[in-house]
Amino acid sequence: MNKDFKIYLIDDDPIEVLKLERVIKTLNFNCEFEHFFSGNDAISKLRDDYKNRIIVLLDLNMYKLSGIEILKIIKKEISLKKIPVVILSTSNNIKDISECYKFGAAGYLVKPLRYEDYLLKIQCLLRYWEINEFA
Amino acid sequence: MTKNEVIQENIRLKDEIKNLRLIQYNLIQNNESKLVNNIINKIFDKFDLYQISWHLAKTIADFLNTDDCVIYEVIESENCLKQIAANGHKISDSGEIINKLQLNIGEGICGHVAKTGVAEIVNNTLEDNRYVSDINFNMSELTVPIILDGHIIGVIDSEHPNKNHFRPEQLTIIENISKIIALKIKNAIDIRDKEKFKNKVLKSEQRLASLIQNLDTALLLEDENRKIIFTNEKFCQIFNIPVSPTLLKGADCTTAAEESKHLFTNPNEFIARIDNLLTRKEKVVGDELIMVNGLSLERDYIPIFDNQEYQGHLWAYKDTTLQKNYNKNIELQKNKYSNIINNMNLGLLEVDNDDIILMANKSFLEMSGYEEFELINKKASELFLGEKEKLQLFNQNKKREKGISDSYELKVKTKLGAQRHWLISGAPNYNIRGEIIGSIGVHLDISDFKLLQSQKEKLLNKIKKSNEELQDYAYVVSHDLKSPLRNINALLSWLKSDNDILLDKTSLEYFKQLDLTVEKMENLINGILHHSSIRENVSDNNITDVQKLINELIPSLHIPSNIEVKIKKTLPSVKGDAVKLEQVFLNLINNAVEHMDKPVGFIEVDYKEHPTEYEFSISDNGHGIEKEDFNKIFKMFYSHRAKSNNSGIGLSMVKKILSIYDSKIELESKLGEGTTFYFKLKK
Repeated sequence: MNKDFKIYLIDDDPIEVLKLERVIKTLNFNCEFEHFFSGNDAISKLRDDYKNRIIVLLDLNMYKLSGIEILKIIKKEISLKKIPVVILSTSNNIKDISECYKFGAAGYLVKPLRYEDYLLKIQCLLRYWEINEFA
Repeated sequence: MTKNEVIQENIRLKDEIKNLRLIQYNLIQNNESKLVNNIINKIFDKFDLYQISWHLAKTIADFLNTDDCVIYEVIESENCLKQIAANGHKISDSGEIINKLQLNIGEGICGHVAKTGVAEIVNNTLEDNRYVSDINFNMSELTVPIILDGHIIGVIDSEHPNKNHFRPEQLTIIENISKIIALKIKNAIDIRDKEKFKNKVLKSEQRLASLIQNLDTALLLEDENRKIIFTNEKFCQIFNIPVSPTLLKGADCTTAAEESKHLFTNPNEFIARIDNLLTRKEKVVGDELIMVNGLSLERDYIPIFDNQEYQGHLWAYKDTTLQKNYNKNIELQKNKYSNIINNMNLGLLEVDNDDIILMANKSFLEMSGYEEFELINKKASELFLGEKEKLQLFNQNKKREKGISDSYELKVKTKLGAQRHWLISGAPNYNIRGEIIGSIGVHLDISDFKLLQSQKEKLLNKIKKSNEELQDYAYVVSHDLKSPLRNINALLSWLKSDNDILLDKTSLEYFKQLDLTVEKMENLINGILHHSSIRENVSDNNITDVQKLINELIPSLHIPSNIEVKIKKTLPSVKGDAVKLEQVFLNLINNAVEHMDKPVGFIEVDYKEHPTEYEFSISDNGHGIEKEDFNKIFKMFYSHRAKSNNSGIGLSMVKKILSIYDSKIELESKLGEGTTFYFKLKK
């Protein structure tokens, strides 16, 4: 098992950041966690950091750069392309979902209402990437 | 016998020979004169060419001891010889010449003689390549021309089957005969030709007479003394004369006008005019007369002069009643149509092939703002069109040249400079010969209609846009509302778990209620999302099998075991999108389940067939709905029972989906007994 990967959360809602932090702590998951309130910050950090193994969790509905725009930028840049991007969104709209996969998303999670459900979903997600190989 | 006796005998023999010669000579002389006598006797009192020739041929044949003698007439104008008489086997039983030979001058021995005028005997026709065989092949031939005043007018030709049949002295005799009869023959030919000509004249006169008799124009020819030379049927008919026109010949016409003046509507003028014409003796054509019986006549008066000398005159009356009525009818029709054209609400414009205006009706003048004189002889496109429209019209006119009619829209400028839209229906205009001489266009001003149309389009676009905005708005807002809810839930959950030991029973109950409230709030938001996502789309024209849809739907509904869902009969297929129709049945069945208050419940799905649609019904034996609430239940967020966790959006969605299919939902209900919902879907 390979636990040494980083999780970048891009979401402008501070409570979402708290939620993910708490989940990782609760699950006692051994990984680095960074969060960004804006897409620009995240992308410039990724450009420095791309050689590491990183999973990006991306919210769609954001104030400045939208999630889909950030996804497009990541999937266009030759060095960033390889990074798996998993979407975290409130929308279960079929259009949004297919759009994200079309532009290279590695997964799509709908944020549930209950925190307990959220915890379960994130646990699955982390387990999944734990058993996957990526660079 | 003594010497003397021999001498005597010689002398006697000599005398005898002398006598014999004399006899022979006399015999020949005798024959000749007999022949001449015969011929003269036979043809002396005959003048008919054919009779003369027949006798000639027979007598000569007899004289020459043969059957075959033919008389030819030489016709110089046609450069040929024609048989006019023949003897012997050349005559059929009915006396006609068999194989009536016609030779060109120069052709055959006869033709040769007709050319040279020199009589000939051919003793062996086999050695003469000019010979032309008639019916039988003959070995010898005797041919003599008939000459008068240096002109060869005929040929006498006799043949015999034996060689060397004819003797030179016979040739001489026939030549003499030829000279004698030449004048007689010529005379006969002249008589015959005159007869022929007379016949021709007679025939043509007869034809003319019958033509005049049956002419549709009444004719009356009078001589200088006003005696009738001839008149015809039509004349008698028009003037009510009850006798045959031939009987009128010679009748005096001086009182005729007076006698028939009562036939005319204006008798005095009729008389005066005739007197006037007769005095002036000048040709007058086309006098119009109207008769009491309604006929219209046209009269011509033609005086006839021979070398300046007055010979009489011709009256011609033509019945023009039909033509006049016809012209009158045409005039009436023309007035009728020009009235229609002038008063119709459509602009009419007639142009020639160069687009020059020939005619415009009142409506067109009103439409265009021009006066008639400002349009006539002007080029229509120059007056009304911009460059772009000229090109459009040019293409239309090309179609017109091919004889195609059609309609098109054109942007035009009126006299006042206003832009108008005209709908023009153009058709080619033809002359009597079927040639295209221009086109006629019917014009309708559709500017107001166009304006309305574009306003309507704008409005529709606006509605569509604001509808979309509204849908987007509902969607965005719902999502934005969901985030804080999620956060509240997370925070509540942390508060509870982090302070687990500190919380008493009441506080824990509050936390539970907080959770429920948050959940209900989320249900409401989901309802809005769902509702806003119902839109019309292409799959609405799909055919959906309702039975199959229900079969798949029911197991997923988790219906409590005390409620039975019954499908009364196999459900049909209808027009509609499967996802939407599923929502309809799902919400109605869920609604029934939700409001079931009986220990044993049932839900029945059934349908009735109509010509173009099916009427479905979903009944339950549940709580029932009060009549005053019938309308409320379809409103968004209306929930029958306040404590329910239901979003209250289900029936409102059913209503919205059915409205997409031009259908509506109806219900029957009795409080405490149950409810039945009805709706129709197209086949």
